[in-house]
This record gives sequence, C-alpha cells and structure tokens, in this order.
Amino acid sequence: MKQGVSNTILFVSFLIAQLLISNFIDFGPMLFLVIYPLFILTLPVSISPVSVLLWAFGMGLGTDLLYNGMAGLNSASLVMMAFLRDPVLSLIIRKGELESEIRPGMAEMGFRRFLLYAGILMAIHHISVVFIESFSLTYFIGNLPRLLLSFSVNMLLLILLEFGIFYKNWR
Amino acid sequence: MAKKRSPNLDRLIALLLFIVLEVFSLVMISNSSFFQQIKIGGVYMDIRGSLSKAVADAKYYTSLRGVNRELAEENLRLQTELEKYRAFAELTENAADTVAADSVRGVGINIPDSLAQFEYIPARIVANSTNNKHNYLIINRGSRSGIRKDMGVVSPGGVVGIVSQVSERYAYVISLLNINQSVSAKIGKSGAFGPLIWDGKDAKTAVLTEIPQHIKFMVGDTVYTSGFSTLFPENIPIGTAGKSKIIRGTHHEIRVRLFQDFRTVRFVRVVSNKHSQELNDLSRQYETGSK
Repeated sequence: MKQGVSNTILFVSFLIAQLLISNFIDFGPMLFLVIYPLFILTLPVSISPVSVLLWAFGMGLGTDLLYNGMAGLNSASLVMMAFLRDPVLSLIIRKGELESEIRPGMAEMGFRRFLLYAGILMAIHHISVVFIESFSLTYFIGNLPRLLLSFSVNMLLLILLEFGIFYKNWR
Repeated sequence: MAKKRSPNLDRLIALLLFIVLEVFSLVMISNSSFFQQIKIGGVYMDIRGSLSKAVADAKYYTSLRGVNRELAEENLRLQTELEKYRAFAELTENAADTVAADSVRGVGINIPDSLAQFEYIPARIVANSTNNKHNYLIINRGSRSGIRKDMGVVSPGGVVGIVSQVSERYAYVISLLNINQSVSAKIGKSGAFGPLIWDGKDAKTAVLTEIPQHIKFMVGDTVYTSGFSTLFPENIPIGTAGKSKIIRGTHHEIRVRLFQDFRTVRFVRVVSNKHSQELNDLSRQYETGSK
C-alpha cells in the first residue's frame, strides 16, 4: 500500500519533469532527452512484471498524449524496456536480492552494476525509439549519430539524477 | 499475492500483456488518424491546447526580443510591398487615364476582394516541436476562424506546414519538418520544380529532389513555392540552394537552407485558397472520367 502511494508520487513527478524537459529544452532533431526510464528502472525488485508493464505503458502514454510527438512512440519503446527489465535484472542482481523489496538503484547495487543495468536497458529503449520512429532499417546510418548522441547524453543525465536525488537521500 | 501463483503463469500473463500493449502502441503509430480522432474529440484537444498555451506563453515572454525583430522584418516587407503599389498607382495616374486614376487614388486600388485567390488568416503557434522525425505544431485558430483541413500555413520566412486536423479553437499542423511531408517547390528563375522534403537531419535544412539533371542553377539561388498545389500561393521564398548531388545520373538532389528558423517561429498565417474546391472538383471529375 505504502509502496503504491510512493510509486504514484514518483510517477507523477517523473511525468511532469519529462514534460517540462521535452517542452522547454530543444537541441534539434539529433538529440532527444528522456528521463522517464529511470522511474521504470528503479521500481522495486519484487514488484510483479505485470505491474511494471502497466506502469511503463502509463508513463509512455502520458508522455505521448501530453507532448506533441508521434503517438504511441514512447509507450511502445518503454513497454519494450519494461518487458526486458526482469531478465536483465536477474542477470545483474545477486541471487538473494531478487526476492527482497530493494530498489535497484545506485546506492543498493553499487555504481558499476547500476551503470551496466541502466546501460543495457537504456540501449534497448533508445534503439526501439529510433527504429520505431523511422519504422525501417533503411535509415540506419542516418540514425546512428542520433542514437549514439541521445544515448550518451541521456545516460549521463540519468546517472546525475540518480546520484543527485536518490543516492544521497536513501543512504 | 502474486508470489502464490506459479512463476510460469505469471510470466505468461506478462508476455501476453506485453504483446497487447505493444500492439496497441504500434496501432496508434501506424494509424495516426486513430489518434487524431481522439484528439479531435474536442475535450482532449482543448486540454492539450490550453496546456500548450501555458507553455507557449512562458516561452513567449522570454523571447520577446526575437518576436519584435520578426515583426519588424514583416513590417518592412509589407512596407516595401506597399511602396510597390504606390508606384504602380502613380504610374496609372501619369498615364492620364482619369477613370483608372480615380479608382486608384480614392480608397486604394479598387479591386474587389473576391478577385483575390488567396486569403490569409493570422494565427499564433501554441505548441511546436523540432526535435523529432515527425514534428507537429498547434495553432490557436480553429474551425471557428474558418480554418479547414488541408490548408497551407506560411510565416514571414516561408512555408511552415499543412493543417491536418481542426477543432473549434485549435488546429493541428503537420510541420514541414516531418519526414512524411512534402511541398512542391521550384528553384530560381529556371522554374524547375520538384518535391521539397525534410530528411530529418537538421531543423535548418531541407532537400529539394527530382530536379532534372540538365537544369542549371547556382549555389545561393532562392527556392520558391511552385504554386502547383492548391495549398500555397506561388513564389513564396523558402530558402537558398546549397550543396547538391546527382542521384542515379538523372536528377539533382539539392540541400536547401531554410529562411525560417523553426525554433523561433511564433506568428503564422493560414492560407485559404478560394479556388481549391473548384480545382479539387475538376481533378476528381477527371479521375472518375478516366476510369
């Protein structure tokens, strides 16, 4: 119950922050900024896969509807990421921790493991965004700089956010 | 609760849910009219419109300097146009044609409004994006101001986009910066024309394609709208020609540096073509006749 409330608060704050970022910061077509994957990444380990999918779909749909882009783009890629969260998590997290209620954040996993975990899932998310957007592989070369630039900037942003907001306070 | 069930069943439910959600999202992407029908539901569009308006107002305040400059430029352009007509009026006066001179001197050139093929409806942009492959704008005029689907949208710096959906107070415009959008354009005085498309690389350039290989042009030539579609009047300057390359030995592909900076555009005019109905009817007649 308490977890549901705190998840809802986090959900709303991430959605508002994402909308502010996409509405006010514009670096042109080569770079898109996303911070909402952090919310899905750091949902508690024990939460069921079904609710991760639903949270992801809600977050993606909210971003799609409230920001004028391509409808369904964010939800499709975020659902993809949420679906692959569990397999990646079970690869990276220690056996005993899988059943516990910990939040897979930097403080709990350590910097390196968190970087690996976030990196794999963010890569999945970004690849789906870029390819769903152009809907084919023909633009692959043209899309590559967009993919790499966005991925590196968003990873940096995500690490900074995780470190600045959650790491210190949860310690 | 979830832990009581077998993990395999749990995984199966997750897989099914994943497929359902993913298919739903992909349907939304591929069938954009579905989404726009929701948008056109009025309530949603109004909420989205007022939200965008709040954002636009905040941005507008911080960019007043640029807006001032844009308006000053537009003023200057109109001033020069006015001068042109003044000169024309003096010319007719000197021609000692008293009837024509009277009609010119009185309340301006006495041409009935109905003669003009194009009418302009001023509007303000309340939402704009330039950082996607499919960019859209929302403007603060809708069906109440006489805006209909498939009208062109222009700004002082050239073509902005084409109206895609209209609600009562807002209209949804597909930006020129959308990889599915194309505008008929011609290059310089030679008048060779072809579709102007955006390749999604840079918000400041577009690509003019299908210009025949024998056409001569210079880097820096101005690219205008061709006037062959019913959407835009002829000879609106869009940008200047830059680097070009020859595709498959048959036609040029020219990079066009756009005059309009899509990040700072605030005020636009919607082009209403009075003859579009007639033209469309005519082409439809032709199409049914040829079947």
